[in-house]
Amino acid sequence: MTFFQALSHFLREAGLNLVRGWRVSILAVVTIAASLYVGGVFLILSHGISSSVENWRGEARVVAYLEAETTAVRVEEIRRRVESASWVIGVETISSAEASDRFSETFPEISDLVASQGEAALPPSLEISLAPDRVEPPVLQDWLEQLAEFPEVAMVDDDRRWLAQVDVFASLLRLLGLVLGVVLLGAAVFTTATVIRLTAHVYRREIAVQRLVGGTEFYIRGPFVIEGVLQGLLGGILSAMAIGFSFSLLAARGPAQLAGGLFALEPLSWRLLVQVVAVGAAAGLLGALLSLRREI
Amino acid sequence: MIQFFDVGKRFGDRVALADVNFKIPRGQFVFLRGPSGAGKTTLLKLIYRAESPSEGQILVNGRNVGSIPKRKVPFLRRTIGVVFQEFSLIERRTVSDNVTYLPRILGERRPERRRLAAEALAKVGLDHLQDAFPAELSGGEQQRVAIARALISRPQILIADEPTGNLDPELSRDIISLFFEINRQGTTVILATHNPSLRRRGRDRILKLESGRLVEDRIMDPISAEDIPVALGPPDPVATR
Repeated sequence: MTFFQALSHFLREAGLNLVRGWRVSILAVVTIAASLYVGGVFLILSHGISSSVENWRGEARVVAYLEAETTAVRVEEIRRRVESASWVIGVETISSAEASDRFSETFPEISDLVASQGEAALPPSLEISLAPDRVEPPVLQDWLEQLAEFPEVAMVDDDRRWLAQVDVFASLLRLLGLVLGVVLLGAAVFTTATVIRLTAHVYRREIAVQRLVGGTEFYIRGPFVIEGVLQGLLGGILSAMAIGFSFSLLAARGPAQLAGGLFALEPLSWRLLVQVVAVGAAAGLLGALLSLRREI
Repeated sequence: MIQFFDVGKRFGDRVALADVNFKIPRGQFVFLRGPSGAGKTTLLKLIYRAESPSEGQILVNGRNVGSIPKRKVPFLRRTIGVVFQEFSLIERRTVSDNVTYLPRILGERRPERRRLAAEALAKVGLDHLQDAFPAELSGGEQQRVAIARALISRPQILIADEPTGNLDPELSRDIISLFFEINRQGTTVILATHNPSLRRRGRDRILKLESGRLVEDRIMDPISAEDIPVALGPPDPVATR
């Protein structure tokens, strides 16, 4: 028997096994699909958040809020001091009036709050753009602390601090997805193994006859291995389709930003979907091999 | 040719076979007799390597069966036909498919498999039932299908473990006649039975087991129809070459 004859036999028998035991096969396929779906969704979410963080990191600025009574001359002096640092790539002076305008644009519903306080309701500030790669983090930290010690500087707000927190959140989300995915995938492997074991039990007499007449282990076990792989593939495809569907639902809800701008929906990659299907097939294969070790 | 040299088989503390010695030349018909639990099935299983001997050596056509690697055992089994009492047919497959397991394993295409099935089934008188399912057959017909399956590889050795155990006396006679016919064409037949009343012919041999030991080895004289004892003990290694 040639390899292709054997493969054709395996596929035919595995297909028949799947159809004959369709109830348990569906159970295995759905378990694999569910585990991959959960893992995949968490992966997309964490990836989306990480992408947002990366985008924001490029735009991240340090804002030095100045005391309201700081004179324009003094503001200019501080600005020049700030600009002298080699890692500063730009400084924008925001006057109280400009700050109020921005607030009104961003939060129009509550713009009255600021308008009623007059022009000096919000303090002037310096928005400092940095090139963090030009400086060692401890040096930058020292510099920020020195900036905060200027008597005219009321507060220094570093965007990068909360970006780091969001980054940690994304990592936790990824870890949670990984743990959940692995646990569920373990359950899927176990389910596949049980289904294959059941199938092998149903066909035990036929297996015995095949052994009796001189069937090799490769020939006897092949259909069961392929059955596991097919279950995994079907589960993977189902999961990829569900992920794609969920993605399209999310995409339909907003143009590019979701969850208050926290989550950037990037185009769904084919590579990820292929990986989901491949992991499904691998889970099916593992389940089949585990069951064959014990049952056949 | 099959030779047993001081063969023993234990399952844990239980001794299934002990000090079994014999030599079966090619083309002989052997009745393996003994009460239930005497070790007949174990002895047969040792020949087609469903079990391995705990001690001693078994040669089948000059090959030491015990030393055949596990992955090569299927190739041994393709040279030995085996028939059981319970027929071991697969209900969901047709007679033709039941008979052609080995050709399918060997990659034969369907037309060739049909031809081989027809040939094997003709030997047992069932070539008109290729497309029937086992459930549609009588017990005797099912056993004939099982024999056809064993014959499809044209084996040199045919092993039958209580093949008439599930059949009435008349069908049993038919099946035994069929084994005689197969033997006449040159196949060595070893037929295990606990039924002492099965018909015998001249030159047929009887090996009798009791409690795992070979207690009798006789060949019927074709002229006097009397049994001539064969000396018990290890086969002469020189004479067996």
